[in-house]
Amino acid sequence: MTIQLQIPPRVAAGIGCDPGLRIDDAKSLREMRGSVAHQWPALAGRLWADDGGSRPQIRWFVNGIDSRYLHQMDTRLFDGDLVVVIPETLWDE
Amino acid sequence: MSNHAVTPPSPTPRSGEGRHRYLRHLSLPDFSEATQAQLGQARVLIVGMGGLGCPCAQYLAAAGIGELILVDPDTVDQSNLQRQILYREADCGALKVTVAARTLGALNADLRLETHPCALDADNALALVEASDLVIDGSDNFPTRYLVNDACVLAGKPLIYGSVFRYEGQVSVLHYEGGPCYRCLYPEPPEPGSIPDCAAGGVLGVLPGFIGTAQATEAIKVLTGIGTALKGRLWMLDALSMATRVLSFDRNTDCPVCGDHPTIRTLSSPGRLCQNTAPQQEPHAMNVHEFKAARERGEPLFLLDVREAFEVAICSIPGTDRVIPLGQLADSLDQLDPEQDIVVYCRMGGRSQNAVNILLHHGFAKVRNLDGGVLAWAEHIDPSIHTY
Repeated sequence: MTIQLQIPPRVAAGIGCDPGLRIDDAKSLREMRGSVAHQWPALAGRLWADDGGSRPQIRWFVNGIDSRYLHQMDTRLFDGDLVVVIPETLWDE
Repeated sequence: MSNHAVTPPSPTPRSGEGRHRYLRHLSLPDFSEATQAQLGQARVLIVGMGGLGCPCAQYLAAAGIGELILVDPDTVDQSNLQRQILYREADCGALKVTVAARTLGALNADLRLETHPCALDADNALALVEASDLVIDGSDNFPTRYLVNDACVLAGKPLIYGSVFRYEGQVSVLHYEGGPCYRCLYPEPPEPGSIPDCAAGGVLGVLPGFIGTAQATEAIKVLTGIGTALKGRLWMLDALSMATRVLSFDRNTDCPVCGDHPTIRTLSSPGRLCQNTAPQQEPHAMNVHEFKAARERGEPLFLLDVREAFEVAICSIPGTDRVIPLGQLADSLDQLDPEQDIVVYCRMGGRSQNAVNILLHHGFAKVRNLDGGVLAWAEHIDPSIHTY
């Protein structure tokens, strides 16, 4: 089972990974943290709180749907699902 | 709303010219003279005449919007010219709203223009929003973004949100026909310093052109009712790959401003978060005067700069001991001595506050943030250094 995790290019550049990641064996958004932390610990720290919950300025979309309207971080994931992470951003003029 | 200026429309009636001017609109399917007239009767408030506000205003003026209300306290800076296309080199130092109004008025003499060379705040926001049919958010700070959102919800006006960062941009139509507002997506503003790249992000100059133009597109659709607006959808563009994505989000029934039991019923100006950090000094902080005095007393302070390399190339505080960009700090702790007195700085104090939090979390007890960063140093201690 493989999940596609899409993170913003700017975050990927800061971590040194690809913006499109393939995550194996994660049955929920919360479980995905372990797989990500194993390969990219700094990325896991940016995206998840220590307890596996979501950080306040980050939104998770599963197949285009806001995870808050699914089961939040306990949203079930299935093979081929696309998870997109959207942090709040600001352009400083 | 003091100091605002109003430019009246052309005294010469333009009957007969209008049809020819907007011929390419009128040739469109589902776009009639009545549709064009809807634009001509519309009043649009644009908050922020920067990278997003410029292209958005330009296309709205060209499209025949009746009135634009421009709000921005800033003057044109040379660093704006890379993307803020209403301004020329000779405009540097002039108020953005004044220059923009002159350029837009020359583009379309039928356009009514109202300029407010001030920041949107809790005192003026509601009146400005209530006087408009639709609001464009081109703001450059989180407090204003949340203030615009709250004012639009309280006044019952649609808001066209846009944001750009480095190579990426976002657009959405908020609080429109029962759809979600910005707080439905992000209920509360971020803590100071929690958005690490706020002041150092940079942006590809053409990207605000894409996003500001997309905001103008959505504004025209909302004002005329054509097409399907981005209500409850976040449209995203990655200019590096030219990949676009549309993500859906719903109105949050628990939203503090547009939810079923709102807790925000009036506007407040919480102060700028990212750019200026908190006005009062934090426990783990020192100001530039204190830092200078401590150094002169010979206190062994280790000065850590957490900005990016391109920023360091522009200016630094003399005596900086090490540069570790914030994004690399957590993986570079072995370069620092937990027993050392460390003072951290960045451009304005936001990222360095985040760095202080990281260091405290990892057991660095004697660490302080330099309030106001290198800009405060330039303003209060050494005006000769270059700023950006």
